[in-house]
Amino acid sequence: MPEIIQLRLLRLKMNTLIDLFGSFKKRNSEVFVYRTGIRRFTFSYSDLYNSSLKMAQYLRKEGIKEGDKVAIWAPNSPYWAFSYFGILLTGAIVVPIDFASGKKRAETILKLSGAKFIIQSNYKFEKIKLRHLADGGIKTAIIENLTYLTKSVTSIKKTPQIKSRPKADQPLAETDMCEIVYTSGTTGDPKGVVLTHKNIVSNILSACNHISLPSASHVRRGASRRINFLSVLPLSHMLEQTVGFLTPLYRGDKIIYVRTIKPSAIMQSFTEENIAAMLVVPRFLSLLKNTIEREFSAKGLIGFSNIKITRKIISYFVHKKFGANFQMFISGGAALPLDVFVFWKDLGFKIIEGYGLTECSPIVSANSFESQIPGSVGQPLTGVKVKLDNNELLVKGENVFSSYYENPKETEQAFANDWFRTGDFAKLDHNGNIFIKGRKKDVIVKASGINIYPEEIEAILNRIKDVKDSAVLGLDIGEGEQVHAVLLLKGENADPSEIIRVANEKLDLLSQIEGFSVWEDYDFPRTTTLKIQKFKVKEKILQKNKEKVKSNFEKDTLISLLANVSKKSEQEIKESSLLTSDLGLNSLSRLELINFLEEEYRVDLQDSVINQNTTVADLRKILEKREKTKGQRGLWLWTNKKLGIKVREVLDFICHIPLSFLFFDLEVKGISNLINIKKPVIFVSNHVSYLDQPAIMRALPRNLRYTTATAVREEFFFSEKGTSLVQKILFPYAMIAFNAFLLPQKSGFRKSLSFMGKLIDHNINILIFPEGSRTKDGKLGPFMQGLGILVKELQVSIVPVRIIGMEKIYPRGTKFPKRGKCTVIFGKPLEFTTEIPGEIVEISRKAILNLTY
Amino acid sequence: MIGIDLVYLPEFEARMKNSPLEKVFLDIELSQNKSKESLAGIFAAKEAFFKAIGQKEDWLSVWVEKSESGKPELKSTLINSNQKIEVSISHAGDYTIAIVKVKDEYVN
Repeated sequence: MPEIIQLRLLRLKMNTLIDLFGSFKKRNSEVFVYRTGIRRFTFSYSDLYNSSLKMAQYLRKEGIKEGDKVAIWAPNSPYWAFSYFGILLTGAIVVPIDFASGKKRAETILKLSGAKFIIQSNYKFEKIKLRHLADGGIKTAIIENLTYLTKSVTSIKKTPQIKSRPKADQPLAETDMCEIVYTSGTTGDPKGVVLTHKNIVSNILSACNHISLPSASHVRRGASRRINFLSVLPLSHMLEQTVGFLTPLYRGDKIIYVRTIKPSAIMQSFTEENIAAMLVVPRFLSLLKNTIEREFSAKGLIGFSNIKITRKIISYFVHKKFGANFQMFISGGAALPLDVFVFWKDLGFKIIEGYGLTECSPIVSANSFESQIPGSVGQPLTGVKVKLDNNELLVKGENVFSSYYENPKETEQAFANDWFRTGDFAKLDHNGNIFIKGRKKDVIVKASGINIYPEEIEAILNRIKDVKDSAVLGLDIGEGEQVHAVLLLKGENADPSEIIRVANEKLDLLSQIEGFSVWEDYDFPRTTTLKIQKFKVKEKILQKNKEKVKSNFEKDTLISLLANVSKKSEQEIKESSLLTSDLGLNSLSRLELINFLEEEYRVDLQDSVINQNTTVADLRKILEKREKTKGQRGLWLWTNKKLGIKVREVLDFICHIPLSFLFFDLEVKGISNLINIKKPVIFVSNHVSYLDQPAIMRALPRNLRYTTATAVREEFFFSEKGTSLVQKILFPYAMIAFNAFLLPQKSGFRKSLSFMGKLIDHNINILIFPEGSRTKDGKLGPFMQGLGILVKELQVSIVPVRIIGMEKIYPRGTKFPKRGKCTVIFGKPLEFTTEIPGEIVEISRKAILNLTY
Repeated sequence: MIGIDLVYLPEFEARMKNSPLEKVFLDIELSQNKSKESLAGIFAAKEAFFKAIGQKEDWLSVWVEKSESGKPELKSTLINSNQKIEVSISHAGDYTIAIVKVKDEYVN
């Protein structure tokens, strides 16, 4: 019998992931936060439970049976989780595909695994098409549409009883296949690591015990033991899946997903979501280190690490950015450079480094929360045995896989008498701490944690005309290894950069060649069996590189990025070069450049920062200053909080409402449509006079009146004719007294949109006049097209509102209102799902037109 | 006001691989257009629109919606409700071209 470890916190007996799933039903805490950049959606454990059951039923309806394979090729989000459990609940097997890989690799994995269904994403350039073939074909669903696809689906009734279907040769139920995870293989085709429920569950349990996340003594008294994880590494990798997904779910923690992994989105989550832990690859930590060093050296604080006081100041500011609750980074995927570890440790950050492989589900060893040994990947987890064989690390335990999917040859090579050969050289100290010393296999480990086999790339290179032979190596350039190709060319006219371009086109996005050199001797150094002696090739290339670096003084990141994007040589790029005319950057290459810069400098940039007159020096200045894009004016959140509401209640009572009685009698219709309304909503109204807003507010029941903000065109207060009286007095008065916010017509719409997202998240309704200006002829004018986008992004219902009579009381062009009667009609809420923005605009407009006495 | 833009597909493909799609395209555009050719067409239309209005703005402030008949319509938050945009997109081999006209429609 497998050892069942009970976590006191949950008292959950877990043999399979279905057991874990069953425990979600009874929990009522929050499990996921999904930040889209506009909205912040939250999901509870019971939402996770119900949505996964629905997903399972949806898959059943699509014909998925027990033992079928279903691929997920999508970015991290709660929907990834629903899909994952949905698949398991049908008894099918999950085949996760790295979202960063291209369509070709996805197709290969589908073919190798025999998957019948793929859940893919809109955010991929090329998608897998639906295929009907005699041998089954493939069906697809878009993950972003799952909410709609599963909306009318009833939950699955029977969850699979994995225990009830034991196999003759494997009596234990939890040995059933759970997922197949593909990793690079030596022959070019990826290998499918078969992981069982038992493999994964045992790793979750030992991880919980081993890392011993904040126990009571680390958490403030009375605070929950639950911690918040920020999840940005791909869930398709076992590192994020086991440590950043399944383990937190087991512990009852909360996981935060961000739709765009923009640097600013990540940093905002840290402070706004009380993040305690985050899984990272070393590259993330070293990029962030560079940014911090750059920023402080720009402020003249170079050499800070020697002075205690400056270090304390810097540490204070860096910690502030990560929020008060931040506890630790968990680093894996590739070796963490010692200087990076020391840098963060000096700033008072905890980095827990671990070691693992997909084949081990994935953790073999890790440091713990209490102690981190520099340079070591810690001690083996409970239940994981390690030993050295000619310095190679071998692993055995319940977490270790048993085979590569339909690949007996690779499987056999991976084991030595039941022990899994990791292919890594290691040393153990007297305490049993593991130190990784290098690799036996030729595999290149990039700083992002991706493993690449050179054979795969060499095979493609050698098939290209003009290539006699090639050697692909991992060159360590300080931030993990770079894929470097050394070419032995046939003719003198061969163009090496063209060869690399052709090869990269054929290679997956994950295994692109990043640098190359031409081998000038007649042949590579070889062994007696004619194998290339790569270490000799590497030595020579490194030697050459050193000389080059010396002659170039220091490598300039910006220049080399520009050279890469513009396809010009570094020498051609001068500080005074114009980006567009001299370097030939067009709108497409600008986009690519901005993306590289954002990643390297960890800033948010708009590609409009580059115009015809921008020089390299200008760009450098922008990056050094880390200029923030200007905030949008007229977006105040506090007016929607307690104080703002109180102020408005008082002003209404003593001034606005009595005043309004002087001008109009109010008749309200359709108030029944507002009873039981699902807050928050967007009120959409026609616009006939300046008194529309006060009339609608008076018409609204109290509970809605004070929690509704009104969008006002920016041009209303800030047109060219605008006086300072309007801007300095009327504008702030309107912001507070009428709870207005600015919706700019020109640039800045997105900023207002994310502000509206915040309002909706805070349960505040929004009132909008989509005609943009008051009517001239009493008729309903055309609507601004942004309304459709707004509804799509905010995902809330619309309540159509019509105001009649006000056009006679205070028509356009008159100075003072004339007393009269006004009617406000509220329509039935309109809910939208798959409508396109244009349809939303038309439906809303028609709904308002249909509101009559 | 008119604008025009020509996109070379192989370049578009190579560059977009290194850029998140959500920076340039709205959800609605990604869900309505599944091929790289049609995304290149939308890209060209957006660029042509910026040329027509004479300023470079956020890529997400202008978007293409396809009606049921499949005819693309260019919409934007950057124009007044009395303005109308017309767009035409064409593909041939490795090239995609878009032409955009912004006009005042509801002048009194």
